[in-house]
Amino acid sequence: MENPIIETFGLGKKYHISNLVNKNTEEKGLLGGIKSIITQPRHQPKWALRNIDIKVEQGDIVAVLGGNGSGKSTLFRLLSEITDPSEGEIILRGSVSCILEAGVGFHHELTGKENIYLNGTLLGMSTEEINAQFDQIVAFSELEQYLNVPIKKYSSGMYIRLAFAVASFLRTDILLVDEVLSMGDESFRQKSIKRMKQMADEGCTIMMVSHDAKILRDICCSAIHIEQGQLIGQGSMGELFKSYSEK
Amino acid sequence: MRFTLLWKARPILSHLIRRDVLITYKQTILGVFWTVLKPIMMAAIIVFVFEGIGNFPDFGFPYVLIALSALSVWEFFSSAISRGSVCLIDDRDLITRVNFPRMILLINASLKNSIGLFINLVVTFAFMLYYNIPFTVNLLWIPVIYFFTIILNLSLGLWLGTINVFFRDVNTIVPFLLRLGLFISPVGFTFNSVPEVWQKLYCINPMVGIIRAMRFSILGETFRPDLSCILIGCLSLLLVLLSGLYIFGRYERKFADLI
Repeated sequence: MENPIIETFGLGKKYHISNLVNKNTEEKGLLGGIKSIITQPRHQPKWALRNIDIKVEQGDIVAVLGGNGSGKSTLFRLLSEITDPSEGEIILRGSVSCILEAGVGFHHELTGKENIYLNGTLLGMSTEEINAQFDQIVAFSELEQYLNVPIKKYSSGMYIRLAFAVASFLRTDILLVDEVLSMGDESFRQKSIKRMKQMADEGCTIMMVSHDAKILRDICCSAIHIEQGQLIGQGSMGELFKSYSEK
Repeated sequence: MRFTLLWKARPILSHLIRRDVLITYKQTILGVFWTVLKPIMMAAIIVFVFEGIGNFPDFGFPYVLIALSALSVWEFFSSAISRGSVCLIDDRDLITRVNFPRMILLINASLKNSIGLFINLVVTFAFMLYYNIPFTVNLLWIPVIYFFTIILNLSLGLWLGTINVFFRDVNTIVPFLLRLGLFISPVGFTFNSVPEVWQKLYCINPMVGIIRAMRFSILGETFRPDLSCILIGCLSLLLVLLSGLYIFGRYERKFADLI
């Protein structure tokens, strides 16, 4: 069997958070405030993720399960090399594109067309690639009439459609998608799900976060479950989802 | 290795430049005309202050041209610096959500208002035509001066942008420093007004060399800068650039966690 496309070993990320309220040492008044500034350590470490060992095979669509603040987005930030891990190691055997938010880099004063280019290049496409796929992107977003309108006039549904359309024509080996699909109406959602499956068939590995269980069950075959920065389990979607939803 | 990444990210740079140009003039009435209006108003004020109130040695050129030739490049410098110090913070969404060479943001900032420089120069040339000042072959130096100013913008931007990620005090202090800089750089006066004993020291400010070179290329031989001054300026520029690259490179990977 081939090597997994993503592997992590003991991956951990520590953040230093200032002003974490510590009830025991909190003192009142101006003097107390000054005293606490001097005596308290300014930054307290907090592990957002720790001891994460995962393996993802090429062409899989993997759901990342976990409650709010469990470390899902931090995992994506580490995998896409936006930030460096505090400990552990990541092995990536392909290019990564990460969509942490719909329409990153979108500027409300710019038109749909201008935003497609800005967003596309930020996600790693070349201008030629965007030119070549421009018509497909526009057709997918169903926004032909609004291309030259500043996106501040767009409805939120239109915004999401444009953002997802660009993302779904990325040529990348690994695509990380955070909570993008659950917005948009039902028909667009079906279309997006179809497009994701198609991308996976073409060999793209997809990891996704969503709070919409229906979408995840529809397209994901395997899953990773994280709670409070710890890996609870990795396995088939069916099993893990059962234990996840029982919580 | 870093350089290859930067080179690959050129399309991002070109689309960021386009974004910044487009949004500057959207929803304004006068649009690009503001860029023409600004240097003329600035020149008028400077002429009033220095020519009307102070006494100023006569170089055989109308004062407004002496001011405008320096002001064009100063405006370019100062708008790039104020942009450079905040560009990382302003685009924090990009830094925390996309992996791309962050230096692109600073390069973009250091090129900011190149159009403004061009228009300022056109305004200056119009004044030269009006006063019958001959155009000389020295004008060919302008692209070189432009290049050096960009490098200066980038060098200081690397410093200020990086510090600003950690300490937002930079936001407050940069406009103040720029106003100070306007008075300690030879914008409203010429290099000759500086006492001779201080001249070498004065040249450490890289803007001194740049402004002198600009005056020379626009107004001619009267303002030819001495080579030693230019060399001192280049040296201090190199120092700022290398230290800026070092500081930026050292902290770049922490931006996403701290910004």
